[in-house]
Amino acid sequence: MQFYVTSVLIVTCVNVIAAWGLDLQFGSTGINNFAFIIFSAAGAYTAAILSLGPSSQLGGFQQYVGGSRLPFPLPIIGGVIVAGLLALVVGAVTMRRLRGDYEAVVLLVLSLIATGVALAQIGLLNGPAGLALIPKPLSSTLGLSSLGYQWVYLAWSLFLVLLVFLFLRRLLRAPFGRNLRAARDNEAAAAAVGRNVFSLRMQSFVIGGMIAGLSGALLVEFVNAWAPGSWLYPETFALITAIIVGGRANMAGVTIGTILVPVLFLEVTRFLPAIGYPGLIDALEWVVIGMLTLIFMWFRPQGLVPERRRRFAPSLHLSPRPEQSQLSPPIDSHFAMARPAPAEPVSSTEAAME
Amino acid sequence: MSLLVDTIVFGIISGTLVAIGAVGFTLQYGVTNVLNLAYGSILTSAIFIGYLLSEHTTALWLLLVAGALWGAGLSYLLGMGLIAAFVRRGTNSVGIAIVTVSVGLIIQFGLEAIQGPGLLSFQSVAGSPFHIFNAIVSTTQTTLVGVAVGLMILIHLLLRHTRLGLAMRATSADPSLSRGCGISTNRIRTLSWLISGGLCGVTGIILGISVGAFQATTGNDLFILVIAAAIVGGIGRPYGAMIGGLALGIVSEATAAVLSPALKDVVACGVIVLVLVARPQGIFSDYSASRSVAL
Repeated sequence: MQFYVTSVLIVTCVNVIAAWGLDLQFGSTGINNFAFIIFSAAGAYTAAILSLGPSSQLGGFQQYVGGSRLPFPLPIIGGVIVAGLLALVVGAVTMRRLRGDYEAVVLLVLSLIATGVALAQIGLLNGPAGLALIPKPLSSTLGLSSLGYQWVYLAWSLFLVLLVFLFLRRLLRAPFGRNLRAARDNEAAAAAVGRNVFSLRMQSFVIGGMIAGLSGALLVEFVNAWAPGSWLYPETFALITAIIVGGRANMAGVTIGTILVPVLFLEVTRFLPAIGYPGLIDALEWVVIGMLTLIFMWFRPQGLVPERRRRFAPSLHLSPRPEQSQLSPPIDSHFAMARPAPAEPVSSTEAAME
Repeated sequence: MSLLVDTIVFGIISGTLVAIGAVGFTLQYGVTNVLNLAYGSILTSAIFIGYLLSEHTTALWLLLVAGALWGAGLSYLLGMGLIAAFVRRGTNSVGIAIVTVSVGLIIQFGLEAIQGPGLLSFQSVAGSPFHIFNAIVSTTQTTLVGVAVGLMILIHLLLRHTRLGLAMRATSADPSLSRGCGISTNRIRTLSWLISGGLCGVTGIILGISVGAFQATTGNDLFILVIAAAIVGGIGRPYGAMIGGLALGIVSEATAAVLSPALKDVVACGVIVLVLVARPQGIFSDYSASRSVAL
């Protein structure tokens, strides 16, 4: 029982980190990263390879490129760096001025193709079988029982969650975060007051990619195996559903959404008794996740905990007059079509503040 | 020499398949300005319909018609029912993309839940084999290529030589101006969803018969190439999609023949990246980048 609870909690930590990373891009910056999971996968593969050792060991039963046996924190750091580099390359191609839904579709196709490449190129990452027997970090040094190790790993995961939380909160409250939101809400206005929108989006994309890499590396060192089946494109949509359910650009909301969607649906049910053939529950879960997205997009597109409407310095004349602000609708949804501008867009106020 | 002929023959066979799928995808996009990411799943559902029917009949035309009707119906419900409702509610283009992905997930995993694990295999309407130079193709394959080419010619005639096609092109170029000129844009959008779904269904049946064994993800495998072809040809442009599909088919068959079949995906990826890099502003920016979702 303890084993089960710790496992679910560790996976929750992984998912929360990933969802925050995606929300930085999707919620705060407005990048529709439908390929998020490939950055997670890049981190996971890197961490795995850097802790597995050369591929010729164990009779070479799995093939992969590179391979070394680095001490504990280095594989994770390697995973973060590689995921960041991948984001840099992908971002350089896709972060140009593509309309939102094109950007999404190009990234979706890249995600599908990446899976195809990993499946087809056996020598690269051991193809469909994936990597297995990835050593648990420090397990021999610590010399704990397997249950004790679970708790230690949980503590380590919680520490990383805290680290990412503090980092992102700092980032999003800083002028940088305001710039991101300004570029998201009104790209032209942000550019007009001198913000480099491409550079902002690129930075957000790379930072989000690195956080994805961290989540992947953390997961792979816990589950000790990684295969293309672990990062198919629907996984990205489990996280996007979590963000939509919880509330975009709101870390508390995203956390709630993550606990509700990927964790409750995808992880906890994994331990339930099986009905039907193996895989039936999995398939039904995805159907439910799809429906959940539709239901929330229809009834509550702003999510359970909507983004806070930020206000600055009421003494400045930039904020709308009270009678106007009653007329202007609140930020109800990021999925709303642009309306004729209300009294004073919040974001341009934000940008003008700096 | 024989390698060249093989490549061209099989390139055309798979290229026409991709091309016809891409025409359906891009035509509907051009008119309605909605990216339908459920297209791959609708395609798969048409394969399943064809599979169910093929247990009762072997008449190829019956399967094709049934697939087309099924695809058209599903596409109509999605486009003019669900998506139109979301658009009326004020959902933007990204929200619509997420809605279509969700619908795609529901269809794909719904099919998987019904079907169970493993592959289904089409009662193949194999036909008799014959040679084009050294390449061995079956009569069924050539019939299917013929159907695909015929449909593309029909689409061409529709777009260029009928008032309806003119209205579709006008709606694609400027919906509000078209409405001002007395075109019933709502009817045109309905029509484009129906045509797109019909082509999608036909593509599904052809795909099912050509690959033999299939599962719930088969449609999405082809959908990668369909999107790639649409992007290469300039999304929203039926003629571009035809050329893009054929080119992609031949290039990927050439890769498979000369290098390795496993590299097909890499080539598709390379093509997309090349197009995006070669046209830094995005190949689409010329006329559709600034439009909002049509209603």
